[in-house]
Amino acid sequence: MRQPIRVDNSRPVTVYDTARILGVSKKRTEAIIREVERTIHRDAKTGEVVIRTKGWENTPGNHSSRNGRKTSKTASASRKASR
Amino acid sequence: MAGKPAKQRRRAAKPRVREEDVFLNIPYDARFENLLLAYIAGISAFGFAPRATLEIPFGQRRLDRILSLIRQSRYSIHDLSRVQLDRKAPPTPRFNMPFELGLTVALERAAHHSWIVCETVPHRIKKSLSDLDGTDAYIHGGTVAGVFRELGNAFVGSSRQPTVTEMSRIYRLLRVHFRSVLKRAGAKDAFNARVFEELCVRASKAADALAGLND
Repeated sequence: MRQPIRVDNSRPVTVYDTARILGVSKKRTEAIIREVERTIHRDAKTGEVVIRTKGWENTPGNHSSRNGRKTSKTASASRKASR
Repeated sequence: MAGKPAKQRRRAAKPRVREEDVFLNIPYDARFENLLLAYIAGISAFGFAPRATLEIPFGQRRLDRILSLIRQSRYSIHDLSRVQLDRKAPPTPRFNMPFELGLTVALERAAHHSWIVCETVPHRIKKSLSDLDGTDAYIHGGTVAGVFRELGNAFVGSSRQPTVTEMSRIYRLLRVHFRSVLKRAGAKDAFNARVFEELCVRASKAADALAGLND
């Protein structure tokens, strides 16, 4: 007979706990969190968490108001240089 | 003990059992990569931290460290799917998984530890490891959805009760990030310490997001 495991995880691990247990540095953990946050967003209508499968690597990290567009830093820098 | 020097006493101390650690005993095989990601996604969705011998560097004290890792994990999952001969010469079966299961069963008698066995093929374990007669395996059928289903059947009473859909979302996130993680680690497959750690942290963050935690 299959014996299920009665688990006691009244305090589930957070991402910081997992990183600490596995010995991942704080700096690396923060970088990973930023990357994951770029991939995940909550649907405003349904409230469900949605995973973006495309383009997450090219989007800015902590500027949600830009809605995933690339920053124009390089464009403005080149404009300045051409003056 | 009182007469022993402090260094020896420290060595003799038992590692603390972590309620949140799940030791994952699976084949390190390219054909098993999807299921490794599925286990990481599923275990993280339940609010646990996956642990594996991938974290341990090869060396003289490897066996001691495997024992210590099992002893400090409150739960363990042993996947005995790979019983056939591998393709590399000389063709051999993989003994690591049943060996680590044996270590766990022996440790269970002394420590607070619970374990389950997973398999791809129903009833095969009765032939491959008949000593476990009376303990039925969780059959995932070699599929990602099967792993999620069986983890849901195995973990009872968890404070987080993720649905198969939620576990699938975490899995999808890991899949999306997988190439980038491999590239950054300079690795060819998932069976690498750094890749394993990165995937676990990503899965844990996704699980937090699904559980509605704002870190």
